[in-house]
This record gives sequence, structure tokens and C-alpha cells, in this order.
Amino acid sequence: MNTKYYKTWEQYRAEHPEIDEKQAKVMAPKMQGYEEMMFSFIMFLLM
Amino acid sequence: MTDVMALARERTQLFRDVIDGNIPKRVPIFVSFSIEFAIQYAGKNLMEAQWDTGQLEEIFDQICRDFYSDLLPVNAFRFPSFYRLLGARNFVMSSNGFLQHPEVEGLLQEEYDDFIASPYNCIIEKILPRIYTELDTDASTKALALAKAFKAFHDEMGTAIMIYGRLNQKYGYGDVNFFAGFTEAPFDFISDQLRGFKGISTDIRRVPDKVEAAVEAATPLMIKAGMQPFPSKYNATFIPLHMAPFMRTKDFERFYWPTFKKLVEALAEAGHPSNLFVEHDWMRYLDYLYELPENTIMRFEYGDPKLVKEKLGKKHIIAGFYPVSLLKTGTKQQCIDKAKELLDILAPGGRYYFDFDKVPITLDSVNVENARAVLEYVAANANY
Repeated sequence: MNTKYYKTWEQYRAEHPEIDEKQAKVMAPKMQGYEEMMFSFIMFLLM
Repeated sequence: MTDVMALARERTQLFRDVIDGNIPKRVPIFVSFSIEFAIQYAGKNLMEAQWDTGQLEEIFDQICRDFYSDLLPVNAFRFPSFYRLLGARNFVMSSNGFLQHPEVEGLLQEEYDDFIASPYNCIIEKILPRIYTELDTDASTKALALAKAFKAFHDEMGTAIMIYGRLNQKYGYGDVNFFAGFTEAPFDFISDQLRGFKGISTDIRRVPDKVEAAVEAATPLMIKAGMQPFPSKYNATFIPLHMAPFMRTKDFERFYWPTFKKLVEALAEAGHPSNLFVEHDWMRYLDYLYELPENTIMRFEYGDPKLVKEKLGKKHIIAGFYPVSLLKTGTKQQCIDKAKELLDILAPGGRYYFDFDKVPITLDSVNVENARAVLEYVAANANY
């Protein structure tokens, strides 16, 4: 998606090289989950 | 196994048979009543019950108790709290407690290029602040407003989902979900709250290329919005269809159909069937609907059920057509006769479940005795 308001986990990770592999594994589903929840909420507001 | 668990399994099987293309034991029933209808039926105050959502369990329980359905017959998802926190112009509670949907224009005609370049940026930066007044302010205030609304949204939905779970268990409803996701046809998305009915009608004549580009730009967002967390052939994404009956066929062919088809196909490819509410009269477009992926659920409001059965009934799942207006004006016998007539047309060969042509919105929109009688008639007599 061409936007600065939604990031995939991979995009987020690229911007935060300090996150190590072990952390990344547990962070990824949670961080992506909240990103998806906000996307769904924003779209719901216009439907 | 308890009786209620056995009932739930039986009802689940009715719908699974319909979806699997088998003839079920009986025509399944899935009717739904609006939150306003349910609150009025329970004799509660409309405004209070929509704010104090803890009341909804008792309210919805009365609908489940009194109206036959094989799936949970209530479904509420628009609550005043989060709309109010955002200063919504698109959903506003009136003094009598009804959530009104005034015409809004979230996107100006001169902003099409911004939307086409990045729909999501445009939504965040221009459209939401125009529709939600609490997002049209300084960055800190709008961040707090959005945080409060997001929390309210998930609190309200969490409460509702818990209630639905308990009612499903108590009444033994079937375990399929035709509202597991929610999205819109891209043209409807652009029309409904971005440009408005009047705006889009003007645009397709004055700036047709921009409308076409905007609809295409919106399509990936609508596909993403319609994806469910857990794909299943027994759960569906709900897509209410709005504008097509009000369009000229050549405009439908250019602006509506291509991206709508792409949406339904993309969802199907990802394992999400679509549940279309085919609003108003789509008889002009039946050949198009036929082209959608097999087993698309289509609940019709108006039109010719014989023609729909003949053209679509072997490929798709049909529902609807039962006129809610008759429940208000007809005698009990006339209402039952209408159900018989529709069953005779739509039930043969399966791929059909019984539903009204629309959700009864208010208590006075039907004679509840007629509604009960029709549902009980179908439950007792629509055996294969």
C-alpha cells in the first residue's frame, strides 16, 4: 500500500535495525496485529 | 451431548449443506432484526440501550426467544459512543435515539488526484477530518480523540461479541458466520461517504476518467478490508451493494462492475466467500452476477425470484425476496402463503436459505405476529 500511515512488519523492522531476531519473533504478530486493527477501524469509519 | 449442542450441530449442517451444494434436511432460516427493532421490542429506551450496551443481552435474548432463526438473528455494529467521540457527521444520533446517516461529502471533486495518488493518505489527511470534526484539529488533540474512539470501538465490539457467543450457546444457533468480514464495492465506497449520491452522479458525467481511476485506486483497500482473520468456506464477508440500480447500464459496466468483480474474485481466491446484500432491483444485472465465483451468497431485496433461480440458482446461494412490507399489511394467511410461494420457487435444488428482503428496522414496520408465524411455518414445513 502506497502510504506512510500503514506499515508491514517488514517495513517497520527495516526502520528499526536495533531489534534482534529473538525479539522480532515475538514482536511481529503483535505489532502487525495492531497495525491491522487500526487499518480496519479507519476503513470501518468510512463504510 | 446436550439438546442445545445437538440443535447447533443440526443447524450448522443445514447451512454447510447449502454451501457444499448438497440438499439440506430443511431450508435453513437466517433472519436478522436491527438493534432499534430489538430495543423497541424489549420496551427499552433506544438512546439509553445503545449507550449502555450491557442492556443488549437481555434485549437480544427476547428476539432469540420469540423469532425463529437457525443463525443468531441480531447483529449490531454501529454504536453511538465512538461516532460521538469523533464528532461524526456521517452517523448522528437523533433526539429519538435513531442513528441517522446524513449525506456527507468527505472528498471534494478537486481532490480526486490526491485520492488516486494515495487513497489511504488522502483518507487520513483529508477525508476523515472532513467527516469527523474531532479529527479536524491540532495533532495532539486528534491523536487523543482517535485513541478514545478506537478504545470505545473495541470495547463495544467486545461486549457485543461476548453477548453473541452466550446467545449462540443458549439457543443452539448454527456455527457459520455470514458477517465474518465487511467491505464495500469500490464504486459504492467512493459514492457513499466520499462523494455522496449527488456528487458521484455529477462526477461520472463531468470527470469520468477520474472516477474510474479513483475506483481502481480504492480496490486494493476494499480487498484488504474484506479479508477475514480466519478464512473458511463457511464464513463470508458481507458486502452491501448500493448504487448499481441507480446507474445507467453503460455506466455500471464502466465504473461499477470491473472493480466489484475484482473484489469478489480476490476475496474468493483468498478463501473468503462474499455475502452480497443485493439492494433494490438488480434484474438488469443478473448475467453479471452469474460471473462471480461459485457459491457467492446473494440476498435479494426486489426483483423476480423465478428469474433469479433460473439464472443464478445452480451456481450461487440465493436468499431474500420475502417482502417485509407484507408482514405489516397482510393477514397471517397471506403472509404464510407468500412464504409458500417463495419456497416453491427458490427451494428446489437447494442453494437457498430463507430470509426477508430486508432487516425490519423498527417495531412498527412489521406485525410481529405475522413475522413469527412465517418463521415458524418455514421451520416446520420447509423440509426436503
